[in-house]
Formats: sequence, C-alpha cells, structure tokens
Amino acid sequence: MLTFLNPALLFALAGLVVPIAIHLVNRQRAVPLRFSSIRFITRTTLRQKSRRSLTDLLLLLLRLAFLAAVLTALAGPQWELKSEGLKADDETAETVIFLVDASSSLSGWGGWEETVQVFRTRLSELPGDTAAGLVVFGKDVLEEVAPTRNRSLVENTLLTTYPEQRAGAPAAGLKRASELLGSIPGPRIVVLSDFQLSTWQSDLLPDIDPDIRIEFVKVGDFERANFSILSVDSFASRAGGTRVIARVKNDSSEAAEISVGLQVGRVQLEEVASFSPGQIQPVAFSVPEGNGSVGRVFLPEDTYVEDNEYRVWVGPSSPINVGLVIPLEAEPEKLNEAEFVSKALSVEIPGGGNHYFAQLFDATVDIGGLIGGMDALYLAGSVSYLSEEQMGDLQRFLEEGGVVFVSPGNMAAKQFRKLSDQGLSALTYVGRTKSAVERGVPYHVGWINPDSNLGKLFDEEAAVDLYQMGIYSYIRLRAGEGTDVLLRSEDGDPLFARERIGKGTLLTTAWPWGGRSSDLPLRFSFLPLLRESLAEAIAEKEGTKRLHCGDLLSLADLPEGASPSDSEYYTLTLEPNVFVLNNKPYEVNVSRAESLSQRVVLSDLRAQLFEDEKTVSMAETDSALGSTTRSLWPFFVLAAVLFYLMETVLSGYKDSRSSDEIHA
Amino acid sequence: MAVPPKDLLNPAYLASLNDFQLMSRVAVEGFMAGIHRSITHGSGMEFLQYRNYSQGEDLKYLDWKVLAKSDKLYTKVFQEETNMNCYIVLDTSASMHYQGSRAACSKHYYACMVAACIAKSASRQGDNVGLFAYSDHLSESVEIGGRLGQADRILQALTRLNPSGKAQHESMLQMFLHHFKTRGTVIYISDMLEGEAVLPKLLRNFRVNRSDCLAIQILDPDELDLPQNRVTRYLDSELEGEVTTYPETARVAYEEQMGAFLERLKNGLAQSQVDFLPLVTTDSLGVSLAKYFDHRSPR
Repeated sequence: MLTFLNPALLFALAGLVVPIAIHLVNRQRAVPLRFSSIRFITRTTLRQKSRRSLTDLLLLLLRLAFLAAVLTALAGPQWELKSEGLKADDETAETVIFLVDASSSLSGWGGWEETVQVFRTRLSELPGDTAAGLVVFGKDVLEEVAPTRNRSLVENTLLTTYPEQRAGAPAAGLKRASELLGSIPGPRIVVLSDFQLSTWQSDLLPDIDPDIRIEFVKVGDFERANFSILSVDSFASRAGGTRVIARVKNDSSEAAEISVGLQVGRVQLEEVASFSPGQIQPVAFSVPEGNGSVGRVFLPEDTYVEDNEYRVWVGPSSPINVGLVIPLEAEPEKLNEAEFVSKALSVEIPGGGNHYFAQLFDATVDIGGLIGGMDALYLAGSVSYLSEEQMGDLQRFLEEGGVVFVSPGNMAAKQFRKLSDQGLSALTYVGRTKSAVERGVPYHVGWINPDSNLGKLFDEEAAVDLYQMGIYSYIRLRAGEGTDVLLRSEDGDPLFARERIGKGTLLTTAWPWGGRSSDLPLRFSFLPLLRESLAEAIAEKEGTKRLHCGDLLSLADLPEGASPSDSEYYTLTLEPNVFVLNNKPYEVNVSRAESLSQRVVLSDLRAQLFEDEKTVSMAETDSALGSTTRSLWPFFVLAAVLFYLMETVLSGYKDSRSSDEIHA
Repeated sequence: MAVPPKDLLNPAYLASLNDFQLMSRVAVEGFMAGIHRSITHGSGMEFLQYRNYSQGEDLKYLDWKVLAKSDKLYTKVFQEETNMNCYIVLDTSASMHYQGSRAACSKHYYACMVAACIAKSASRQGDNVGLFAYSDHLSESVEIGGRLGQADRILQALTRLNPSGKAQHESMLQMFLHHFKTRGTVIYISDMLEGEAVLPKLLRNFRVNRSDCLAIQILDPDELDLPQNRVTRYLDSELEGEVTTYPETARVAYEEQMGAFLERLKNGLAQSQVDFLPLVTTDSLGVSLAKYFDHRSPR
C-alpha cells in the first residue's frame, strides 16, 4: 500500500494547473514586431500547426511530470508491505469505545439528554459484529464497560450514569479507553463531549497510539445565555454584621438584567443588576448579625444550574493567631516593641481585612506547643535566647507553614549566627551602624522592592511616608542566596527581607519595630507594613479554606490519625457545602471552570493527542505491526532527473528547428 | 599559417568597426586595392582622344612621337578636369531603423556606411561633397564644399543621425532642390518604401542641367521574404497601424506584391533617367562604391 510521510505536500500537486494554464494562454499570443512597412502584409487566419503543438505538448507533459515527480519525492512516498498473518486480522470487524464526557457542564441545557440520545443512535448504527465499549469520565473514570457485543449492557450502563458536579478531566478517560482497546485490531474511539475549553485544554492529555482512530462528536449547546457566580467573599462589616460580595458574570453575547439572591438562615435577600455582554460585576449584600454562618448565593432565573449557586461562610472569620515572643528577663525594654506590634495587629480595619489575635509569650515558651495553635510568631530579639530544642521547634513551625517575624535585639550578632547555623536564614551579620545622634541625621528607607506585594501597596504617594521614616540605628546585613530583600536603606543595606523555609516564611527586619529605634510605630505606614507582610505570608485569606467538589481534604487539616479518604471526611466535599473543621471554616463549591462557554479547537486537540505520531509510525511500525516499509523517494528523484534530461533534449531540438526555419 | 584575408567590404565586418572615420578609410582603401588603379595620377588635364590635325591649331598639342613613327599629324585632345560636385541625400525616416534577424546592422547604419564611403572617396579625389539628411524634417545638412576636413564634417553629421518620423519625400526634396545650384552628382539613399509614385518624379528634377542622379535603395533581407515563423503582430514603424498574421501563409502574397513594387519603382526611375541600385544590408559595400566610381568616370 502506498503511503506518504508528508501527505500534506501532495496538495502542492494542484500547482500543476499553473503551467497548463500558461500553455493554453501562450499558444494564442502573437509576438509584436515593429516592421518597416505593413503595406504588403495581409491578415491571415492562424494555421493549424499540429506538428509544432505536438512538440509543445510533449514539452508540457515532460515539465509537468518533472514537477509531479519532485513533489511526490518530497512527500516521502513509502510502500508498506504487510505480513500474511496480519492480513487476516485486518479483515475482522473494528472495535469501538465510546468515551463519554460527564463533567458538570453537560448537566445544563439538556446537554446530558442530548449526549444519551446521540450515544444510542451511534450504538444502533454500528454493524452487528462490532464490539462496543464504554468509558464515562468526569473528574475521573466514572463507569467503564470493556468491548463486548452485548449492546444492552453498554446502553444501560450509560443510562444509569449522570454527570457529576465536578470539573471534567478527560486524561484518565482517554488513557483508560486506549488501555481497554489494548492490542485489538481496528480500534476506534468515539468521543461524545461538549469539548469545553477548560475541560480539554490540558497538558496532561496522553499521547494516543496512532493506530487508534478518534472521532469527535460535539454535543451540548453553548449558544445560550448563561450567568455564573465566579466567587463570593464575605467581610465583617463596620456597622456590625457581614458584607457579602458576589462576582457575577454574564457569559452570553446579549445584555440582560438578572436577580441575584442570598440566603442566610431564614433571611433571604435579592438584588437586581444589569449586565452588558461578557461583563463581570460585583453584587453586594449586607447581612445583619446573628442569622447563622452559612450563606448561599444563587441566581434563581438562570437555566444552567451548576454555576448558579455558591456556598459561602458568613460567620465570624477565624482570627490569625500571632504569638509575640520577647526575652522578658534579659531585655524587658522589648515590651515596648511588643506593645506597638500587638496594638497594630488588634486594630479592626473597617470594611474587611484580616483579624489578628496577638498573645504575649516569654522567650522560654515551648515553641513546639505553639505549632498548630499559632499562625505566626513575632520574635522580638528573642532568638539569641532560644535553646537548641526551641530552635528545632522553630524550624518545624516554619516548615509546616508558619510565619516567623524576627527583629534584632541587643545580641543581634548571636541571633543571626544562630539562624544561619540552623539553616533558616542566609542573611549574615556585618555590624551595627552608628547611631543617628552620632551621625547627625537618621537613616532612611531608599528602595522598596517593586515586584513584591509591598511595592504594590506602597505606590508612589503612599511610599512617601515610608521614605520619610527615620531609623536611628540598624544592623548591617548581607543578603545570601534565596533572600528576597523587600526594603533597602539609602546605602543599599537590606532592611527587611523574606525567606521561604518549607511551607513557611521567615521575615527578618534589620531594626526593632519599637518606638526607640525608629519613628515607624508613629507613622501611617506602620499598620500596612506589618499587617500586609504578615498577610502575604499567611496564604489562606481570612482563614477560610476554599475547595472544589470532589477535592480531598489535606492531611494537615485533619485530626491526627484521620485519613482524607475516611467516609466521614470524604463525604464532606462531595457536594457544595460549608462546614467547620478544627475551628476553620471550609467552603465547597462546583468548580467555576465548568461555566466557561468556550469550545476547544478540535484540530488542535487532535494534534495534541497524536503529537508523536510521526516518530511512532517510523519507529514502531516494523516491530509492532509486523509490516515493512520501503522508501520510494529515490525512484521519484530518478524519474525527475530523467524527465528533466528529456525536457532539455526536446527543447534544444525545438529551438534548433525553429532557428532553421528562420534561416530557411 | 597564413591568415585568411578579411573581406574588408563585408558590412558585418565594417559595422563592427563602429566608427565611420575608420570604417570609410578601411572600405575605400580596400576597394582601391581591389581595382588596382591609382587615383593620384592624371590630375589637371586628362587625355581624351586623338584627332586629325587641322591647320591653325596650336602645335603644342601635336603628338610628336606619332609623327616621328608614322609621319602623320595627330593632335591630342584633353578634357579639362573640373571639380565634381557630389550631393549625398539620405532618408532617415523611422522605417530605416529596421534590422532583421540576418543583417549585421540596421538599414540606416548601412546607408550611413555607404554615405561615409562615398564621402571619403569623393574627398580623396578632391571633389566637392555635401550631405542632406531628412525624414519629416531636415535632420542634418552639410553645405557642399571641398575644403580640408569636409569629409570629417560629413562623417560627424552621420554619427548624429537617428532615424525617426515619417518620410516627407516631396516637401523635403523640393526644399533641397532650392539649394541645388551647381551641377553635379546626386546620390540618393533610401529604402524608398511607399515612394514608388513620387520619387521618380522628384529625382527627375536633378537630371536637369546635365546633372547625374544615382538612387540607392537599401532593404533588409527580411523585407524581401518575411521569414518570421510564428504568429506575429506587425506594427508599422511610420504609420499608425498594425496587422497580426501568420507569416507562413502571408508570405507568397507578400513576396508577389513586394516584387511588383520593386518593378514599378525600377521602371519609374528608368523613365526618369535615374540610375537605380537596389541593395540589401548584407551586400558588400564594394558594390555601391563601384557604382559610384562608375558614375564618377566621364561618360
């Protein structure tokens, strides 16, 4: 059988029309000649010149044959010889696996009903001896039937399956389908899906064996109006109660007005908002206090259900616990710094922001005992007084996701040596600057890292206050590898740095954030500087965790000894839900990826699935299929050379004859 | 190994010289060498014939040698040799520009070569020579004269010529006639296409006053047989118009009509007592020079 390595090149053969057209046009064209006098020249009809046009025709055919041979040689022709044993297999009937998408997006607008209908039609159209299999996938493989001739088993399996409320992931389904086909000859996969972009656009899609044919069948309808709730946030309101802000998107191409509802306990609120096409708009609700802690935002009028609901925690947000550790005996003056920091943290910021709860500890505290209870530790000069055991606990605290804020005390040199010995910090102590009194002027901040969150928070106007802050004395540090310097002095010394240790963050300042070392606590910048750098380090906003339906709880969130697959915890995240575990609220919602109404481009998808097609067909055909291929391009090159030579000879002959005619 | 002698009068060779000065010198010297006749002899009086002595004739013309041998009295009769006037009239209309596939040069260039050779040889003989070139206007004119450098002036004028426009034979030749005062030889060089009706009449005017006229017609070989072998769109070089034809089928009729035209022209010129020399651009220049010298010799 003749096959080609680059069959697309064969389209270039259409270019052969060009020389034919030129030939046809050229035959009639007269050569213009300026002649002395045309007085005696009579107009004559063209003579039929069969002899000459025969030469021309031969030339044309030779040139066409030359071009065709070159193009065919470039297309990589191969002759595939199949062994006798495989021929018999080839004649057997093919096997079809139906790969059915049961992701959340198919559950609206009658998508699933259409899928089932198309599936039944396709199944009934198969020839009687064709074996049919089924793989239904959502987030994972939901159902599977190995290829069988028992059609009713396949059909009933699909009829008893329903799309789940999770984002689809076709990788597992595709893999399973090709596994089921295995080495069965004549394999075919029929994919029934809405080919939603978020489901299919994934790098994890497996490469499909090039012998398997894939057919894509589009179901579902994306052309209808859809509204979706993208996310919902709740904040404690200044006036008491909670503010709930829902981000709603109009995913259709038409402007519309829609009502958005919120239910908290027995209270039901409704807001009406108008949307232009594609617009995302926040819709705000104010929930009075004392109505419960579980909210449900919903769109009562929209037809596609899955993204019309969002569960949100509206109860009091769990505070971030910050432990302030100071060496009370050795450096009691550190109390001043702790007081400022504690006050800054306990301030309630109107209209949102994190809640902090600060607790004071002595440097002798059991840090191991604080793990789990504290989210962050503020070590005001106390590192130099910690025991080795405490340092080990500190490291564990960091690695498990805690935030440690370190400010220097009287024994700063020892403090930084201990931190680097423990492998926690790459900052090295260089010395202490002269005091501002000796120097005459205080030190200032000279640079704010523009890539950091602080850089964005302290933009041009807000940064002025920070630049004006006077520091009376600071520790000269040298930044090492992996240190993110957030602030630098005018001389370029690091003043404030961030380092990642395990899941946690170590924040180091080069001057104590109390009233004796700088005027920072009296400035407007103090609150945002302290709270933002802590908030950035603490990943989970407001302490509320957000999960998608079907996600498993992480081991760290569970009580000791419990497993995420225990039915008690497993069922918590199956459906949209709000629950509290370990005093931490969890919101479980359907993945919003499923409300995206865009399809993947099928040709791109096919290219992605058969990415390594060429290498497979070249490298494996010999062994896997028992077939041998022979490259035919040298023959075509030879033919092209032959045609070229013949063309040269013939055109030379034609030229010589025409010049003979002239001189005759 | 002997180098084969070059045909110094071959137009292909002469055209390749690309310089009228050199070309005319080569051609004239080559031609003279060919006829072995010195032109430096016989200036002044030229012996014409003997005649019986009549009484009273000047004895200085008596041929004493004949008297001594035969005892008879013969008087030598001399013809006084005067400076001959040679007018070269050149047609520089657009049709002269044509150069066919077989010719080494265009008709115009060939005509210029002929004119240059004649001017050069006339000058060498001490004759007066002048040039009048025209198409639809006066292209170049060199007043007749025999001063030193006259030939050079004519050769330079020939270099400047560029054929264009439609030949206005009647008006231009009438104009030339006004300046034609002293008798002499008129050498008229043209392709004479479309001029068979007017030219014999016009050239006849030069035959008055015992002047002599030689009409040299220069044609390209292509104009005689129409050799093109594929469909051709012929554009007239002088008149607006074109005709598309397949030459192979039009050839017979063309050759017939061309022959008839040449015949008419020849007859017309003969009736006007104008000597006619048809040339094609592949002919040796010697032919035209021989004809010229034939005219130059007394009749």
